[in-house]
Amino acid sequence: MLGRRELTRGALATVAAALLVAGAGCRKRQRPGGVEGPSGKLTIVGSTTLLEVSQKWAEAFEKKHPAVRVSVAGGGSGVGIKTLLNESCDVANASRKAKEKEHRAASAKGMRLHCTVVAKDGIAVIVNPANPVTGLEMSELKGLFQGHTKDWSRLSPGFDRDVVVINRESTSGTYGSFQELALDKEEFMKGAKEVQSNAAVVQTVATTPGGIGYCGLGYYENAKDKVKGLAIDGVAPSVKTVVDGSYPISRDLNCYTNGMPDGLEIPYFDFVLGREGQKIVREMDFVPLQ
Amino acid sequence: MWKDHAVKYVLMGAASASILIVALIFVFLAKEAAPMAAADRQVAVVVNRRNPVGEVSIEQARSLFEGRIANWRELGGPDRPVRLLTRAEFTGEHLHFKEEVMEGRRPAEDAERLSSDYALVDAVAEEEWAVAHVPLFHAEQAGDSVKSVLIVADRRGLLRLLGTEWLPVTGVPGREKYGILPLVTGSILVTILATVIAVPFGVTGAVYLSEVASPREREILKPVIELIAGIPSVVLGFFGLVVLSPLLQKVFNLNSGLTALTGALMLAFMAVPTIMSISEDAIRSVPRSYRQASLALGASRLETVWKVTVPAALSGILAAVMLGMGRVVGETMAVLMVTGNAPVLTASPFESVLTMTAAIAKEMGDAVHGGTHYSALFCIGVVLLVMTFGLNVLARRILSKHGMR
Repeated sequence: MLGRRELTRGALATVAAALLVAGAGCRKRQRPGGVEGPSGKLTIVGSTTLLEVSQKWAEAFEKKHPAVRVSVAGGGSGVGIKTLLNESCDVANASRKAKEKEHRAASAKGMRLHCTVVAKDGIAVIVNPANPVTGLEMSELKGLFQGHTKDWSRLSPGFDRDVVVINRESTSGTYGSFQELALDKEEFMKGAKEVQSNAAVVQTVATTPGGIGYCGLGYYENAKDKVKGLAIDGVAPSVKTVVDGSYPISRDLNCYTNGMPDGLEIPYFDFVLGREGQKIVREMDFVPLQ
Repeated sequence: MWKDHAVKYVLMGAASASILIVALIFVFLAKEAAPMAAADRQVAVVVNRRNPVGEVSIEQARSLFEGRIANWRELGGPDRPVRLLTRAEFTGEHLHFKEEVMEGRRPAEDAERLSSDYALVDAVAEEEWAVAHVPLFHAEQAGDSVKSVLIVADRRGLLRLLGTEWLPVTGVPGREKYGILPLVTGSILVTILATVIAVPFGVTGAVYLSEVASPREREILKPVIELIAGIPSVVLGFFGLVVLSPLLQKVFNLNSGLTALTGALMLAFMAVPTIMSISEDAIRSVPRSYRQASLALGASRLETVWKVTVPAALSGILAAVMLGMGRVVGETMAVLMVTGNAPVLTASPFESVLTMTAAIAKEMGDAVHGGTHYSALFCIGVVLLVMTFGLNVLARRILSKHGMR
């Protein structure tokens, strides 16, 4: 039988254990600014489309300002904005614009989502190299992704395979932009396969003969040996066609901050939007701002 | 000795902390899942506060918005013409209003169309004989300036989870579906397939290890199996995506290698070490006298193994299988990467499925905190927890029935 003394001590032991667990969860946030140039930590979370270029920006920025640490993480545009609203990061990368409900959530918390466009991007539609089709009309594209066209034989004579739609997860900004620009905000087909990143889309389409998917322009440019990009309404996806506006599926790549950029964000955005940052954009096969 | 007391308190503290944490998890899940039972998509039909009409029925609202009731007198009010206001575009909650009250039809042609809910509320607050339909949130925010005469809502609550379509994020808000049946069947399909694949390998492997293998072989095989058990699931998922998926596609001549079967194979791979080691313990704990008696009666070694030893260890083996299944049901990363994540209700191993675990993992980032999607995900969590607990309880009952533990 447990005596009173033993119960009290047991309870104290439990409380101690609980406090230990709680204490482990606390974090310290460093503040930016300093006497000799920028210093401190900048946390960036969000779009997988922006992940690689963001990491390159971070590297170059850190080299320029050694007292600064920039950490970049993926997770998707939706995750990035959510993390920003939770005040767990400074900048949210998003390959789409913030949604109405995200703006509402921000004002409910007394925050404001401020958008800085950092680059432009095209969304390439890709198919397996075995597929003879070279281009699609927007309406045909829509029919494929909505499951109305189940067979390639009509669009690719002689290619008798089922259409396998490769989709991104709904947190993806690429998903959101594609849904808006190509599907008029309508739903994708129910049986579409879902993968978690631009790279996974390329990988899956490359190994699925009847596959069709979409990915950021940069990912397509780096994988031209693995997948085939389609011309949409007669225009092929390339940096040139996105810049001159002829490619129909193109979008802004954005960085969101709580209100106007402040602290470390100011030199960071100066860098990103400046000559060096935009040079990196071009190197990564995105479209620099004019 | 004080040392004994100290150990006792540490153990007590740890045990109570564990129970506390499990209880907290349950409470947390239930709390976040509970809003799913509440009414959703609430729309109020509002009139100016000076309008004496108190309440209207759904049929009256239908007639109102279709233009068939043109004067307030027909609703028991004064002799004044009805001023209809509606949305230019029906999104969100209004879609439900359109279905339930308007039976899918559009409002009368002469209704004035405004572009926002705020504009509608303001207009009703200013015009004495106006009527509009606005989300309940806006009606409540407007306070006393408008009066709600009818509230229409989706009151299906938890029943929405019993649907066969899981579509929590839609291009235009208002069309979401929260049916979790495809997710439950997805999890069950993958679990059963994985178990069916894992059990033969696990049990025969255990039999081999305990009855047939020489001590040298055992020395090598056991660590190898422990190693397999230690491979992170995301690594296995990557292997599945890059190697196994295209392979299965070729072998079975499929459209795509992202199927329930691919996921099940990865999970079986993860479950085999668990099943094997626990079965092996069960087989080894069969009293030697059973074996000796059987051999003494003239049975061969193989006959002894399959007809005496294994049946004697059956309850332990069953428990091993249940534990393996429990592990499989909760597996998230590997299935997220290889099953195709399509919420389709199917029994075919060659189609893509979405498991409950993968659904939670991939959508928790997108769900607005406190919203319907968020609560739906927690409901899935509750179902998952109940299923896992159920499996464990079943395993224990089987064990106790056979007198073990």
